[in-house]
Amino acid sequence: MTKLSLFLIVLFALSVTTVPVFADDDDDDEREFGFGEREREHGDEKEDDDDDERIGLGTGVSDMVLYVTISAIVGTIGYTGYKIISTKRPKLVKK
Amino acid sequence: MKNRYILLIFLLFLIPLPVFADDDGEDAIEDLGWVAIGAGVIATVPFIAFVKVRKFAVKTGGSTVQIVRQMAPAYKPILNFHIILNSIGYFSGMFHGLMLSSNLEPISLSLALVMTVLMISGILLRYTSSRNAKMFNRLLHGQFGLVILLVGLILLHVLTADN
Repeated sequence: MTKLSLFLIVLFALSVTTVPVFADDDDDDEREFGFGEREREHGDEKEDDDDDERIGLGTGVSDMVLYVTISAIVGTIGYTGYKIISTKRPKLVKK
Repeated sequence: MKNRYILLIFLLFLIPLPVFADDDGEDAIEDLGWVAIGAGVIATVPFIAFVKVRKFAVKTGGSTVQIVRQMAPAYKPILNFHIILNSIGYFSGMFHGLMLSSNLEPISLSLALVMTVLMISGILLRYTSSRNAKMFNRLLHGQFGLVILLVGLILLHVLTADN
């Protein structure tokens, strides 16, 4: 496969997954609330509902998950690098 | 043969479309996450099974070497299927995350990080010619720990996302 066809495949993947998301029809909501007003009021209502239940950034256990993940990724990359360096280094011959 | 291959790629990229058949925008974005999970499972499980069976057959030796020879031509198509479907899953997952970024929490962020590391190492493994880069990415991409971490984070994300 050439680089151009690969680039086209990636571009196609992007277009297929993103474009239909914006095709969603929001006209009814706009009529109901009006521009500006809609986003503010709608946003406020949503925040009130979600704030109690959402696990946000900065909370204990889920923050730990993030730190563990980052450590695991850094550790894996480091381990992989170490493995390659250790196999490439010539072994010392004992006299 | 090449035309059939291109048609297959085209059909594979249409997989995420049915999620948008729903009128509700929020639901469609949520479904995109399930498309990512489904594509990931379909793309990865057969590929890992194929590689493991091949390795086992080589290790065993004797008459099983014949099986390895018969399996050899199927490797490239299965690898391409793995790459294409996982790319679809990755982009679906990332757009699912970007569209719902107002609900960002550490578990989703961790999941996105692991997915990105695996995706980048996979791309570099396939499309770089440097021997060192290939070796590094082969080891990184095949790390069992990262796969376990990914599966665990997907489970955690599914369980906590509705909250």
